[in-house]
Amino acid sequence: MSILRRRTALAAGASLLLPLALAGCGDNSAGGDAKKVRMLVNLTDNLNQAYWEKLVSPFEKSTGIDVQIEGPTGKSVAETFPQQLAAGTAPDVIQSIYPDANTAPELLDLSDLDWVDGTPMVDTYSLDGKRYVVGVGSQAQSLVFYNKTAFDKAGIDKTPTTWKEFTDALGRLDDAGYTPMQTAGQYMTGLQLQQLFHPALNTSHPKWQTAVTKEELNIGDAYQPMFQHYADWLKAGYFAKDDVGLDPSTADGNFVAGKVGVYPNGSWFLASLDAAGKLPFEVGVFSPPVDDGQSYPGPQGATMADPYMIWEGSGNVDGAKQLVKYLATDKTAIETQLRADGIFRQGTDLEQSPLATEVQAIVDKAPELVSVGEGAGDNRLPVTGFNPKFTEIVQSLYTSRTPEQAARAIDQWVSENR
Amino acid sequence: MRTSPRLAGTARVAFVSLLSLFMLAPMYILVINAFKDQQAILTSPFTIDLGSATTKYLADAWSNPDFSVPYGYAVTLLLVAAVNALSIGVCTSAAYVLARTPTRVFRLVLMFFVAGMFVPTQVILIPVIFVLRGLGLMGTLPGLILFLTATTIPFTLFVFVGFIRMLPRALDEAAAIDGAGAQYTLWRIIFPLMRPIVATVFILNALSVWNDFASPQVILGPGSDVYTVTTGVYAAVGAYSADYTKVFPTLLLAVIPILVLFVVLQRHVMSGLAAGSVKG
Amino acid sequence: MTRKAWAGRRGRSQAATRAGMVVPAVMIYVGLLVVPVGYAVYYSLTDYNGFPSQTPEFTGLDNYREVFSSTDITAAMVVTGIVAAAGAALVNVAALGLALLLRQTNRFNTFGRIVMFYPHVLSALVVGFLWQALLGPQGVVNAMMEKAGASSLPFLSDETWALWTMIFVIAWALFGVQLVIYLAGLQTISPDLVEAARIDGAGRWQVFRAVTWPSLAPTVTVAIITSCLSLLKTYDVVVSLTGGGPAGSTKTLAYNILAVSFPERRVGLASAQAVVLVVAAAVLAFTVLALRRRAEEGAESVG
Repeated sequence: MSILRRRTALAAGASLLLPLALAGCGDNSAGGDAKKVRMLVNLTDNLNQAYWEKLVSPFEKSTGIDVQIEGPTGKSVAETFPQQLAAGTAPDVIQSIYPDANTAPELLDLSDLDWVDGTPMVDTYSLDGKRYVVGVGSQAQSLVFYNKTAFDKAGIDKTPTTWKEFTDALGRLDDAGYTPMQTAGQYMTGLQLQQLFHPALNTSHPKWQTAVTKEELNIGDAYQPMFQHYADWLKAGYFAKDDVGLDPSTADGNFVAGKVGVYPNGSWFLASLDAAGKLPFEVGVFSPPVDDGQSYPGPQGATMADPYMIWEGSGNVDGAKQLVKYLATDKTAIETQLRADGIFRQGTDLEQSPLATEVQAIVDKAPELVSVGEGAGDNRLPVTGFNPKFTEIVQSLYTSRTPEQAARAIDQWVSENR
Repeated sequence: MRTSPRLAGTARVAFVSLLSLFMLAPMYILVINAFKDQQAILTSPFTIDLGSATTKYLADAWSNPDFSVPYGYAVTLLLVAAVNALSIGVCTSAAYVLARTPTRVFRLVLMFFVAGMFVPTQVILIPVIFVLRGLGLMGTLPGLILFLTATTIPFTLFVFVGFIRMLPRALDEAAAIDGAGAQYTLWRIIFPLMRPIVATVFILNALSVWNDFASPQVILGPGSDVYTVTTGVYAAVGAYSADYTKVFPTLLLAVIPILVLFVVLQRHVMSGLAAGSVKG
Repeated sequence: MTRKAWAGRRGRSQAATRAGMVVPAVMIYVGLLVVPVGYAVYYSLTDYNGFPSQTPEFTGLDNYREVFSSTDITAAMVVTGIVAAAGAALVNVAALGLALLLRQTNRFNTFGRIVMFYPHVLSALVVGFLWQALLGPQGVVNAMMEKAGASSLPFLSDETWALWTMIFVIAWALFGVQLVIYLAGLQTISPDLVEAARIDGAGRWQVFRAVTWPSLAPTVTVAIITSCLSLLKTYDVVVSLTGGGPAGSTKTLAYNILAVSFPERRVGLASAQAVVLVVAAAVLAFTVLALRRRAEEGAESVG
């Protein structure tokens, strides 16, 4: 009996004490620890946990502030941050996403900080003239990387500038025994299609995001020609139907292995190529094709790279500001970030790989830099979650939908979620 | 015409053996590929080559800063213990009262609890966020423990009430004549008799807490530094699911302890589950 | 003090003690399960992004209208329905068949039971990751098939394939649990009855039809619906195996709530979906209870 009593007492005690004892572990609140800053970041192949720790370590040493790097619990920061806002557990600094009308009231207005002036693209992303986000540089979004050896073997002597030439090139690569084009699943399917289409789309519909918001343009109408190209290539077998289930890093690996002709991607792929070391073939890059009659190259998609925002409810606004200032203005921090993810910034004398110089030339030659996806700053689509939905619809081209149906599906989604 | 019993027996053994092989094949692939590099996994995933086997990737997975396996286990086991202690603790006394007081009110209370058995817990996580935020427990282990306890209460209470009703009232009455209070009667006389049902409930609750991913994912979130085995695995391999040199070693480390535990305890787990199904 | 008054006070204090013993359970249950369901109902009638800077704005039944008209959400409902129905059928057919094969207790059968059951303790999330590595386009199985000269199969890269692959993986991980339940059900069948049937000259099939099935049938019905009920909330496997893709073909309602509507800051819409799912679960649950009651009454009338 006494043993039993002790046991139940123990159990009861444990049940009461454990939660209390552990309350200390879960210290995550905005409780204002002046020596700690929490930063939510996207973890990618290029930007992994070790990279982030290394990036902030000089800052930690010089200020004594402990920077806690947190990866998202969902698929991405875009998915996790709203959840944290709702939960009241948002981090002090948020990397990788941009402000919008919903989140802006929850974010710190950085307009008054003098060091924010002149940081890359800061005004492109301002909302109603207020600056909520600071970046480190810009990333080119519309690039087609290609295997020069494969092009030589396939007898393609000039990179394509129109859709017809592009399709011809894919056909020749196919004949030469290469996988003409590499695509991938997850976010990549929709992203690539957008990347390929930015120059042509922005030539025929400048500021298309705003046009959609003003109901002057249907996204479906704008994208249907591109859906058609994509479906034609798919039908011709220029990329594998299976790609839609493929992990993007495996897709990178396929290109690096030399099996692939062209691989549309953003400038961050430069860093993946660097990391891959010496390749058995030469890599080139060109701007995506445009419609007949449009001038080539077309506008280049560009995004603010490494965007940082500060949560207004942060208990350590001061530390957060110091950290963001460090990340966006310190020379070493900038160079580390530029190198790690294929980022460009004017006025830096960073040594570049020949391929990066080619990308720089494409960016310089572009008649205009345009915002992509949901848009930037005040040039925005009237919906949230456009990119995941768009990817879903592009993926449906692989099995079930015709280009026409895909165009209607995206229009319907926009009208339901406007 | 009848098939001969021996032939049928052989066919049965053969079929079950084949199916067992099929059930175990993923485990086999998991184990052997945890010792290979990516190239070897892709070119020869089914073969064992001791010459090129390496423990490098297992070591990497073991020292992954995002997911320490012992820590994940410690948190999960603590969750299992705390949720069970709390759930069994509050349900035992509630069940005793509900079982021994056949008034209308208490019968309604019981029905009110039973209704909760069918609420799909994942889908109410969003409002739970707002409740826990109000209590200041969002992103904390106590918050998660409370929520998981709430999800186990309906079933626990339901089977406890059923069990106590089968215990003769004479026990209580004898205790009352001896001058024992309700608490004393419950914990000293009734509770010891409840051992089999408590064991069953413990196992079922342990399995559901152990398997849960959505609740810790949402309630703990990224900021709390606390992770369970499931959310730890997600953090470690979710973003790198094509890097098999991360996937296989991490999964292997994450499943070994629970598999050992299961094999050791399998008789209790299975009989507990079976008892639960017959009574529940 | 009269004896009666004393008894009354004692009765009252006893009632208080009794109520006090129920309170902790009630508090936790109400606070973290009932109140959230109430919140879900309330938010489902509002437009709300979940952020502290916004107050929920009452919009009546708009969210429900959207739940039933949005192609995305109705598609997720269909997927959830298929997963629940097909998954439950598959799990229970496999479990029942195997239970009949493994009903005797011997070493071989015990081993068989462990092998069938073990995936359940791995957790659905881990199972999803494991099969993802096995069945991905460049995963283990396809790499092998290509090496063997066969063309690869689109387990996870075709919309229809992906859905059925997911159902298969769920069944793989889950049928062991139902197996144990059926084995327990088989134990309750009186061996005398089976023996009597045998003596009467009944074959295996006849014994199954005349003795085993009638006594097992109520268990089966209840088991199918209970597994349906637990599959309604399928979420973990979707996260780790398919991520809802390709082309959104494997998004279940639970996944849509947590991984689509919530990140889109549509707490109202997410709550409306949650309420729909709770109602669907309640309807199924009532069916279980009614069936069980009928089965019990049937058993009593036989006995």
